[in-house]
Amino acid sequence: MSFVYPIDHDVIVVGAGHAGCEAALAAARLGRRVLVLTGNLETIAHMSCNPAIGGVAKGHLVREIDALGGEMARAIDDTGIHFRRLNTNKGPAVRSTRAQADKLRYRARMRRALEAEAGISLKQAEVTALCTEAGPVTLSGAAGTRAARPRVVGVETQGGVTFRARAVVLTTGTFLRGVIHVGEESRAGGRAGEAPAASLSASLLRLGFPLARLKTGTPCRLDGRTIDRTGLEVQAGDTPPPRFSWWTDPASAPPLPQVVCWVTYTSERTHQIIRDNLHRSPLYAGRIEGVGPRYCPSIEDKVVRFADKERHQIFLEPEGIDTHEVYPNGVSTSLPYEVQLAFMRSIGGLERVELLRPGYAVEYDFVNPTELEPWLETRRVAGLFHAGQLNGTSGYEEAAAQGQLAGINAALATAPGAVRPEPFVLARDEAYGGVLVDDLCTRGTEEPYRIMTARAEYRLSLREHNVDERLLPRARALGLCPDARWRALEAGQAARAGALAALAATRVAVSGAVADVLGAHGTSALREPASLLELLRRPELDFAALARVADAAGVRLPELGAADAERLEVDLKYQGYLAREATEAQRQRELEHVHLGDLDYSALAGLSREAREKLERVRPTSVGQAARIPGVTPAAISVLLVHTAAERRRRGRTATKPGA
Amino acid sequence: MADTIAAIATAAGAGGVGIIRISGPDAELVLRRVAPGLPAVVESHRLTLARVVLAGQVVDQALVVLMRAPRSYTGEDVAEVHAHGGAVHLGRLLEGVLAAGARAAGPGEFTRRAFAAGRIDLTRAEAVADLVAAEGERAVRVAAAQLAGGLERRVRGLRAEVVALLAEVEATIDFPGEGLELIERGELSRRAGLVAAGARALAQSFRVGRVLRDGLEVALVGAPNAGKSSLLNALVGRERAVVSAEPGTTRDFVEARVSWAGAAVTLIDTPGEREVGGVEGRALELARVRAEQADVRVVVVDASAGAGGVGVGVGANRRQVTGDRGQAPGHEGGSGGSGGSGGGEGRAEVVVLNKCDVVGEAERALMRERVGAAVEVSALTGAGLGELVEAVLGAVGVAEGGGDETVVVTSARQAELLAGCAVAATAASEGAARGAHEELVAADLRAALVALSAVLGEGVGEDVIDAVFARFCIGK
Repeated sequence: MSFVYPIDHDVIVVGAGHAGCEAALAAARLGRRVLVLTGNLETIAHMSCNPAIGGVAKGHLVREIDALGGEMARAIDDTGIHFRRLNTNKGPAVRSTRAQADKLRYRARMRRALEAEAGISLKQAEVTALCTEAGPVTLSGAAGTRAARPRVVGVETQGGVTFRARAVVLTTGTFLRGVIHVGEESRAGGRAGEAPAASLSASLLRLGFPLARLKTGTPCRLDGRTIDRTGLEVQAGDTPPPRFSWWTDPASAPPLPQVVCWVTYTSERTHQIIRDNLHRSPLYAGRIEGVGPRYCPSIEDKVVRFADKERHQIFLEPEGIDTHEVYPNGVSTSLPYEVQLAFMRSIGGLERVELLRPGYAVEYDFVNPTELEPWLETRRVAGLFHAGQLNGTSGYEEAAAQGQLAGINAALATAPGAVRPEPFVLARDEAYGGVLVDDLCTRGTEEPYRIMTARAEYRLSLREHNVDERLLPRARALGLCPDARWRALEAGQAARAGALAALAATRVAVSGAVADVLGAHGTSALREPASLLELLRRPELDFAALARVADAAGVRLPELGAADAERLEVDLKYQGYLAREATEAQRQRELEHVHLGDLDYSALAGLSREAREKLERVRPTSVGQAARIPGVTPAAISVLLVHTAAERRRRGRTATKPGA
Repeated sequence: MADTIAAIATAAGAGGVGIIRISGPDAELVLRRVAPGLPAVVESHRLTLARVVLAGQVVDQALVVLMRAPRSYTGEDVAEVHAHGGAVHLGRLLEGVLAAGARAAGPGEFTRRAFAAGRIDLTRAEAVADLVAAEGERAVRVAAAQLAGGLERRVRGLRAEVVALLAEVEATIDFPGEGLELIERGELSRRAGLVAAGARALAQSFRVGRVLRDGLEVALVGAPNAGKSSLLNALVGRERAVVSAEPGTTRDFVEARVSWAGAAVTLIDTPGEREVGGVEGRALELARVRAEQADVRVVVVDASAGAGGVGVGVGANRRQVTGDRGQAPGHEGGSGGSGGSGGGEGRAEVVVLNKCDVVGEAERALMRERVGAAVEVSALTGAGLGELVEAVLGAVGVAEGGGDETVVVTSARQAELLAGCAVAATAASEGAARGAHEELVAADLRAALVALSAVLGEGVGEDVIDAVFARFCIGK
């Protein structure tokens, strides 16, 4: 009855959302034969919730994906209809790009990218089980030695077809035993109108994975023709529109026409309607057991938890250029249909609004990511990788970043040759992707996890603008950085170094004209000649101001593009802060190089019970990771360091300094 | 590459010679900063006599040794200062070493480095594993004991305030355009400034805390035959110093230990101050250094000697602390931002009019006019000794039977962290007032938070993010 598909693949990607697409592309671009299995070929890279990519910290992730050879940045640049730079006045490190997408075109654009990749084959099929084989597997290097565990060899699908592969990337989104709630109505579903994955959960349970439930929600969608926009605030995109991908010419116009969004607010009547109907909300009636995200509360939650707030802001975001569908950002809900209609019509400009589809909450299974190695492979099953909402995250960008890392590592795990290459792990001081994955694997999560800049302790070092210096060397080592982009990095570095030298060498003499310009910028006059470099270090002077000083002094300012000028300025002005972060990162990295592997923590004297339990659950790969587990104290870290040193010597290896 | 750490390597409370150990790439640099007289080339593993200089003052003649990597305990460059005296003196030297660029070593850190470098063999490793674990636990217990009561509450209070302020700044950064009602910059600056002041006060309480932990050195100085030895004997209550009517009987210094208000006090009797040469002169020089470095100098003046007896030592440029109102020197003036291990603060001084039993009121009034406020005592009758004890304790901020001494910092590491917190919170406060980018204000507040968390032996965790969600209605 079972048919084994005659062609073997290296990597199977289950799911074709934002995680699945990047996983498949990364593995294929590293030369693997990739099979993508999705329940519905029409919804590849579908934006189930808001029609936007990027935002604070998320924009950073998108650019990182771009630097590592991914697709998301190029796809949104091609299909964006409203681009903005956020946080422009809060500092260069937290400036982030965000764009509204034409939802349909984004999907088509991503599907084209998959179809253009020779190594990818796409098939529509619902995966029902993982196929595994027993067998000891020894990993090399950072992986250390892990005990014998089953190995994934393929997947079974609903039609009875078995596909074989040496690695599998699971990206199940909200589909694992998905249940959709609208008011008193609940039904099985992974997304409105789409069937859930009903059997795969059982397969995961059989392999020993503990499953838990999360919940997320989405607002209703509106018919734009029934919105009265008179009197609503307009929010336009930036001019010129900022873009995500290095491959996009920043001076070019976006291919699609640009649109505006509108801003409106809930009213006291809105809140009253919601309060009167709370008992009909599945969340408040206790029918939802899954935990929802705090940063993305339903409007029911907002009204209850922040009862003293008079109004809540709502952005009205168009879903595309040739549809009237509008996404009301800020009113996620699972109240009954008639209540949704009533409260939406109590909002300014929406008095006669028609709903295209109701909002709903969805509950789904996830596997706590403490089950994962920092390269997203499960510890229970070799060759099995998890990415996206399956790991408890939310957000397209978070999913895509994990998908890309999982895809890269699935490709490395199936590399030809006897010795498996070192896994690809991003460090916390290197990328938001590193912060994201380390947070997940080390701390786990109990609510849908969203990236934020506040999670990055090396935030000032992780800027959108320096993504090339941070990640292109890593991409190049993998073979994912085309020569053109590498040359551009080198050219930029040379230009900045040249400008720096010229600034240091150019002296400004003391003169009345110079004093006037300096005074106009609120900084003190020169007492003795100074170099342009010294002047640029002053907090009051940026590159543009420096140009005026140079004019007044009759000296030449070295030529530098605007982006390079900003980078040079940040490096100069943030020197002290960046050095502090670098010192701390270096100290941390030494601990990252002390590997732990499969320790028997119960045999270690001196560990507190809490520390032992936490270490056994997370099974950190290094002392550095162990130190970030909540509940593992400095005393416990001392015990681990001493033990690893003793072990090293017992095995008779030459002792080396950590990090050396 | 690791940073450079330092700690007192000899057991606390042991007398004689104590060792400060410095390990790390900058060990030699740090050593040279505190012992600037060292020759340009120092042979490894060779003891050298050197003057230890803190804040421009020679504080000790010590043996120093440099052990270059990898032939050292930790396998790194190690420098050691073998210094004179007890815990107080060593504590002060350690502060100087920290100010010269080393970081206070955490529990077991030297041992850990020794392991990492493979300097300890396997059999010892097994034994030391338990030791380090125990050391860690003891450190936790000690820290818990230190933190019991007021200090912990104060540090937790500061930490909660930093978390609240950071939540405000992080919310503006991570959730722009959500119409959040955020704190004004002026208010942010003011509150960050209060955190800085609170942390600084705690860091400075280390001076008092150290007295409670390590004890107090009190030097009796004054003209020959002013009655220093008699006073010491009276304070100790038994014959300790050799007393004779001949001026200058005390050739070397004499120490005695007493306990005042729970603080261990070392009384040091020094030879009378006069010009001497030769070998004896060098001994006197050492005594002078010792007296300079004592926590409190008690300047003994012979009330019966008339104007000529006032002599040297009643310093015009010294802080005087009188008998009736004690004041902790660290709590005033010195907040000039050096932030912490204050090596340069002036020593407290108490002036005593001795032999008050043999002079009349008129004469005493005359002396008071000359020397300023003074405690009047008689070593012979014991009159005024209680007031003297009170004055000495008051001079270092320890009030007998009262005061706020539960809220003091007693470890150099905690003091360093709190001082670091004060510096960071000050930077945040100034940044907020100046209109610096939010991300920089946040970076400074975060540094303050990390320091406060370390005092409590905790991580930073998710507290800030939790606070953001608790405080603000956020989300699409």
